[in-house]
Amino acid sequence: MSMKSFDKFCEAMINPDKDKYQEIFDERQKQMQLHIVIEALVIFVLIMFAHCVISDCLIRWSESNTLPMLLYAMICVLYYIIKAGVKGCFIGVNGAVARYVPAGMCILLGFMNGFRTVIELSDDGWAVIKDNMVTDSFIGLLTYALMMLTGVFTIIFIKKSEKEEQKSS
Amino acid sequence: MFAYDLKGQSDMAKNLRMKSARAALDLSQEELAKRCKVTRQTISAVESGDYNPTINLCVQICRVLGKTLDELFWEEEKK
Repeated sequence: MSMKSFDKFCEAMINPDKDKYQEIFDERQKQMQLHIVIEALVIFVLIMFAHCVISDCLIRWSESNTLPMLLYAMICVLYYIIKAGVKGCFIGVNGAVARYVPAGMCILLGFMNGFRTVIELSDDGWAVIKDNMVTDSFIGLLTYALMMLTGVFTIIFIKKSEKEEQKSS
Repeated sequence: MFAYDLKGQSDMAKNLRMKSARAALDLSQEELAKRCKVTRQTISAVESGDYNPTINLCVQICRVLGKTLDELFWEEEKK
């Protein structure tokens, strides 16, 4: 990739062409999305609360507190995507093009970082548990796996929506 | 689990008038959805009484089906 095209790529990432990737949702979809986001946030807060209680009062099971937080955030994102897909508010009125980009990014980033973490883990002799605590590398690996799963689910819902559209036309 | 689930929004009945008006024009849910610029699931939810549409969507549906708001959406109060 030349510097010029790399600049364009960065520009598109920072300031995407709105007309190109705009996904239009109808009123029911917007309401439903808002509800699911609230549910996901409530779930995140509850999981974090449970994590804090378990870590402080029962057993400190992870090396750090930050990485599990990312893992829980990914769980909530996955929850949002699955529920929105099932309820029919994940794909907008005008098709699914806009969703392919983040889905591809999720899979790519998940794979790249997951691969790096696997190498780290193998260097440590696959130490999933160290000093009675789950290692950061393993929690990171789980997070990246969920990230990839999120991308996969996104593509499944897009394909499903495209099939339904083909059937109806 | 969550009290604000859209399905439990109110005791809405099925909108059979809308369904019959659509059938009279030989329109599928998908076609009506496209003309109203919403998804098929939204039309399905309105017809089955699972979603309470905004006034804008009601007007849009009425325009496409050639009916008035009263004809499609007004319900007499039960005494």
